[in-house]
Amino acid sequence: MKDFLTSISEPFIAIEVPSAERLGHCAKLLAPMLRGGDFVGLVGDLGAGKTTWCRGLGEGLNSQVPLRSPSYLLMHEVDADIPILHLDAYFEHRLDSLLGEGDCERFNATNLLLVEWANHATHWWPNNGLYVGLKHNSNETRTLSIHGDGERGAQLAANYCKLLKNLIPFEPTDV
Amino acid sequence: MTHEPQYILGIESSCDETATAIVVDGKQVISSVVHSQIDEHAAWGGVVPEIAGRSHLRSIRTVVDQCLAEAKLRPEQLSGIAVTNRPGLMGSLLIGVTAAKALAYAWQKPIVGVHHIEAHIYAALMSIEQPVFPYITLVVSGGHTSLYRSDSALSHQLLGATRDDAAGECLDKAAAMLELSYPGGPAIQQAGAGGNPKAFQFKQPMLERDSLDFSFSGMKTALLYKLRGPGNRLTDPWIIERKQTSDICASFEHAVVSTLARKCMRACQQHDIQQILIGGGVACNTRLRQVMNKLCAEQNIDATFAPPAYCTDNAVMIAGLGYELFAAGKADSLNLDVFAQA
Repeated sequence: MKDFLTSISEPFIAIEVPSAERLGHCAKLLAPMLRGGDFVGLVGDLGAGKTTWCRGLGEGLNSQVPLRSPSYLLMHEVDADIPILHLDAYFEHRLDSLLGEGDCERFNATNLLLVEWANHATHWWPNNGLYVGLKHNSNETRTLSIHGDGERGAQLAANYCKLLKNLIPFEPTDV
Repeated sequence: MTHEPQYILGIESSCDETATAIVVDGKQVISSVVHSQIDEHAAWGGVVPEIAGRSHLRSIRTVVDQCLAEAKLRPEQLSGIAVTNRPGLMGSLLIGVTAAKALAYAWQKPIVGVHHIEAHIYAALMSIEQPVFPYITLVVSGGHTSLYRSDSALSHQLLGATRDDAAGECLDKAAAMLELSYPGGPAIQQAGAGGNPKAFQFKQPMLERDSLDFSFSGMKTALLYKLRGPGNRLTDPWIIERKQTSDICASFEHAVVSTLARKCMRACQQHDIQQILIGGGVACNTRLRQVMNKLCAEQNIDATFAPPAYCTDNAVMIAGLGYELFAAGKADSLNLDVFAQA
């Protein structure tokens, strides 16, 4: 997992996030920087918080419905400030089948391509975009790392890191 | 005026079942054919869209012919055609809808598009002789976990839904962690059959005090930690022995179904309704039925489950709801479109 992300780029930042709520908040910060045609890939184990992060980003983009796990249908199309194509790439063969049927035509300059398990089925992803790594620490905390691929990815990663740095140290989570 | 019986042909192809049925007046099932593709997808850990589409295409004519033959009906005796047009896999939906349009055109019959989830609700309604609305309705399957307030067969207000994984999807992912087969629900039920549901504690997320939403991803993560053992290190082999597998399956399944049941009770309280309908693939689950019936008995609530044969995808519920839609004057034209998400 780590190998995949470091092959994209050295982490621009790696921070420990204390709770799921804070993780969603981190994701929300990215929203204003994005535009149609951008790619954001999530990499992390089962239960690491990929969908939680995506839901936070969706909130930041004023998604019409809350983002949920796309594992069952493989791809959700959600209306938002930037229309979101939200994919689960865990089962590469299933995704190949969906995208090979023609759904990849929907990857275009108007949509945000948001992919969970982006270290799978990599032949579909552009060489230009932001990668978010999530790692289990304890039951609650996660390590969030940011990586940039290509010029646009590096630009997004650098700008996003500036905002994330402002969050540290995290305020205690309300109970 | 004498009532002319309405023979509705239902067609369902939204996911991995190609199904047809003929139902009279939305109640009486005179034929039902289901061609399941589950074996074709099992090796891939879930439905493969292209395999599904091709398989629907191969079987759609056969299941239509078989359905008419079983009903001993000729096409001209049909009153109309109802077909699932939302939500589901685009390529799969298209096969059923295109077939339905072709038949409607050739046989000169009216056509109506049916919402798959609302049809799952109808499957539960069909087993009630004289439904008295409103009901609290739970639709729970691999792709959906939603609570509604149903004020008629055609009117459902969404009260809550999963914020992350559907209940069936959660069971699929848990089964994958436990190296059990796909689909996960039946595999976990089988593996947990003799197990102790209280052996392991899984916190049941009820979310905010008034919320009718669900969240299952935390439970999935909790299972992962249990399997990894103390210190959150992935042990190899995993700490679970065979005996423990049955306990952990029983406990995990218990936590999932209890959450579903408790949310239904909460919805009943909030809306002052004393009756529940339950449909969708996970409604087959024995433990869900046990837990739901126990809680309902305590609170004097009536629970009606869709019959097991009509919990998983089928066309009986499509023909049934189609009848109601035709009766309400909601027929569609041949321009009927399909929608992946409703």
